[in-house]
Amino acid sequence: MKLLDKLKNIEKTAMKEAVEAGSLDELEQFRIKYLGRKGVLSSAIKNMAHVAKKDKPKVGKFINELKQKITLLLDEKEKSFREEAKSLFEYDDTTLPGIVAELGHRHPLIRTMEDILDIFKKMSFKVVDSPEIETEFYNFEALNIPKNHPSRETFHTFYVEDGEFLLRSQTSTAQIRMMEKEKPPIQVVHAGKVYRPDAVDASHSFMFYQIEGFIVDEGIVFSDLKGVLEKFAREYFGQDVRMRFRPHYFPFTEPSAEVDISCFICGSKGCRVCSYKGWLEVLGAGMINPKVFEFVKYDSSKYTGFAFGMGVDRICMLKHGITDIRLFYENDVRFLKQF
Amino acid sequence: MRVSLDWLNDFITVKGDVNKVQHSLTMIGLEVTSILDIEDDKVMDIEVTPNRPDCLCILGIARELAAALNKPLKIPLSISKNIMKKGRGGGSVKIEVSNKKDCSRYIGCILKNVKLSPSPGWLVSRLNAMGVRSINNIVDITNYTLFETGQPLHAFDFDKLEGKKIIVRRAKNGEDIVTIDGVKRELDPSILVIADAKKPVAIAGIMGGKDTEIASDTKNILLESAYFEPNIIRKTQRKLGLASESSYRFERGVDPGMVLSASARAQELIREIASGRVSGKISDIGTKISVTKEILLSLDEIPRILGIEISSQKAIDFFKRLSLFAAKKGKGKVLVRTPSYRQDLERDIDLIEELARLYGYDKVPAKIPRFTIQKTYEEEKKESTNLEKEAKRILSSLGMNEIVTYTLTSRFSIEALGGSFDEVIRLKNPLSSNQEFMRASLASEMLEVISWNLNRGNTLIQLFELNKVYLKRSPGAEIQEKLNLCLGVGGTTSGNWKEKAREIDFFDLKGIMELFLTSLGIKPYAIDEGESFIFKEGMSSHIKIEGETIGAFGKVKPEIARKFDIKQNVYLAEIYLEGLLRHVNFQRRFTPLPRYPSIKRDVSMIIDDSVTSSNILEVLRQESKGLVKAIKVFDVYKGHQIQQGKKSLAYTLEYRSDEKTLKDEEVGQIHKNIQEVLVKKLGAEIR
Repeated sequence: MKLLDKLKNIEKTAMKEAVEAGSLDELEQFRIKYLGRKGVLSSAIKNMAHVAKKDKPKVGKFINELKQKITLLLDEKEKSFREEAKSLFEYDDTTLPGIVAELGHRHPLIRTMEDILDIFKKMSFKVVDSPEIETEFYNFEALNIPKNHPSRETFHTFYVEDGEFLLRSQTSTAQIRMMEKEKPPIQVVHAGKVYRPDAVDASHSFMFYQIEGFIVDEGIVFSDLKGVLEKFAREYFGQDVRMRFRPHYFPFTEPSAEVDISCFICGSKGCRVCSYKGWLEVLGAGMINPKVFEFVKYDSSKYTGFAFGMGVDRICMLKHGITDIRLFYENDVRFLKQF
Repeated sequence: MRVSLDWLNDFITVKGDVNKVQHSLTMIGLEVTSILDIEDDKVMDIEVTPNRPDCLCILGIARELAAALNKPLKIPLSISKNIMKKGRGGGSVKIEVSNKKDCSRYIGCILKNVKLSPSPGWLVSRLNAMGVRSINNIVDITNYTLFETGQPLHAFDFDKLEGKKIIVRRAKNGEDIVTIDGVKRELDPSILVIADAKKPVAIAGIMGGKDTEIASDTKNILLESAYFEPNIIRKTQRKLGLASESSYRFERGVDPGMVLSASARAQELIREIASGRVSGKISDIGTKISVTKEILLSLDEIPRILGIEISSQKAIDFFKRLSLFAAKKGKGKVLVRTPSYRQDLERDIDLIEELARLYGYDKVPAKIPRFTIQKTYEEEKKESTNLEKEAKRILSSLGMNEIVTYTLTSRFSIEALGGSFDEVIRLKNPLSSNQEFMRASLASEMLEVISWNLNRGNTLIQLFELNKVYLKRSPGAEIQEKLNLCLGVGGTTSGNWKEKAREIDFFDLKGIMELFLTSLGIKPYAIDEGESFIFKEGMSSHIKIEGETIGAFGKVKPEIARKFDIKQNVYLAEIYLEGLLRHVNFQRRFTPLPRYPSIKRDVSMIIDDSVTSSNILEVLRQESKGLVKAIKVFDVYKGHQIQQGKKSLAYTLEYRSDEKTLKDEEVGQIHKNIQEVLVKKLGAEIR
């Protein structure tokens, strides 16, 4: 059994050496050492002559198995060396660009809308829907914009061919829709499309997006309007942004305000975007006019409320420095991929 | 409206500090949008809101500025006290107003021996600052007074008025007039005119007539100052498409208290500049309307609306700065009397707004209301919002770009996609024929966007839009707004140095659809062949869930694509979100991970072309004894290497049991059986 012990030792060193072989050359030397004509295993077979007859099958089997094991190991190692060599040969220039799948981009207008809604949602506003095809009542009358009133002229409107319908010219219609259905307290935001027959150019579109928000409850005051809008402006435009409320006129609110933010493009120094005013107009707002409450049969001696509206297109353009509103609706992939 | 700083300085001492004026006016509600340098003057462009026609003049702006700065106003006595020189000598004009409703006041004043000449330099400069060209001293004075007081005036050549008579009446059918711009205009009874004994000599409140205009030979003039009913002026202005500085003010409502004052102011200027003398008695027809109103303001209302307290003394002080009469009236109440030029003030809320303006919006403290409202509203549509959000997330993670298109579409687009005109909503006043209808499908705008991109060298088209469509089920039926989802793919993949670019095809879209539906938890769904107007036969599928068709997709017929200027193959899908919403399932139940390993076996076959992949799948599933957990097609071949009318298909089947580790022999048995059934049932030749 001396030979068998010797063979077991050979196996141990062979396995160790096989693992250690670091290149194809070393692997070849290893093959010659063990499997060559004058190799370790060949001489072991020659030594079989000295083995006792009864042990011969056992030793023979061991040698055969060892030979197989080494061959398998050699093949595997060789294969992996060759693959590695191949891959290093093909792709050893790591400065080649990476391989990546295409990313789908969200439309900046819709993203802006969602971002703004999210801020109001955090302030407990509920998001509601409201129709775009409306009647005179919701678009004008109930919003205190009577026929033949000069204020109607600022709201050019598309009318539908048959029936009394029109395409709403502002999202304030949602106020009336909600107040008709619900009793106070109400605290909602609504985002959607509005339409005005303006010829299309870099800053005008006959269709654009607006966001409307309003609260009606007992004890809602102008200070609340300021607080909510200031919080929104800081969240959306940044903590450093300053806000300015200017008296204005909207038929459906009183007192009414136009709201400016400090121009974040020039740091209020004056630039083309802010028309050298240092301020950017971003919102219209005000306390809901008691006349509007009359239309929805709310008791204006009990309830007060505020409402605000903003143009999503404009805010998106300001935020991203987009200079032409038509880019939103052309959907050129080179444009979309920037957002 | 343009305002010259120099002119404003006549009414309130502001010196040259245009920035302070700009800020004060802007913060009181008269936004100064730009400032121009004209000659030595600064000219501000001011946005006047429709509720404040009284601010469409220098005096009105000065009043607001005086209130903002708490400074006194300097008003010429002719305006503030109507001081006029007595007329000398004879001469009179007979004035008739046929309907007081159309014209509540008409003042006619004859001025004789006017010396017509160019205006003095200062007058020319001021008109120039307002953007108005100088004509002659008389016309310039009427314009000057208009800008100063807001009251439009008109000067007639008195000697050219037939019968020395003025009649304010509606025009008769068939009458016409040549206005001073030289245009002949047809008149009708909806139009108010100023006529002499024979014919119309002016379109009331809008423009004078050529025949009676001030000309080089004019000696004596009739100066008109009147109050015309705003609605008539607005309608006439629209009807004739003729707007002027006069009509702009009349249709918004001029100050009834200014009719006489403006005349007095103009008389004064004519005397000084054109040495014209008032002759005879001034004719003043109509009521000297007193439109002052009294409003009682309860001081409690101020904090209820604004959130700040303002004392009665402070409130009275603010009102006085606005030239409103105000006095305490009982406990906690203030009585305010409004002047004729503030017809916008009607109710207490109007007064609260005035107080807020003077207090300063910026000084009102900001606070956050208590957000206690926890209500759900019918209009909330939470499920739909979740579905929209999830759908967009899935699609963008699949590399689809979101688009937003116009909802107005053209007749051409509807016809190109075989739409019915009974179901679409048409606009009465479209801007152009490209935006004449409300769309009932997102497909045509998707094709427009695909075309735009392909024609600009954007080769990979992977787009989606989730937006509203507008339907009217039948003429006169209720209008519905519904959400649709449209997908559009085409062009070629971008490819890279490892993988070649390849053409996007039907199966790319199908793959997206399948993954999309699965990801929304929709199962089972069926994708069946189904006809559609816009899709090519054989590449047109319907998506069905529990028998309900919720959408369709396919290859756009090349002849339709070409109508949108698309030469490449494009594929579209359109899904009704409402249908999807009924079947979507956001609940995710955990399935334990497999405990036992799986074994993969391939099967390759040659089979008749008529046998579909779904026929084969059916057999594979039936015969798998529930052990085949996944089936993948890894090769499809048709061509010269195999017999015609046949194809070669190869599948990988993944076998796994949830109870034990499958043995090779077990899998071998089932796999062999499956192959036998494929041969027996489908005539497959196993390779």
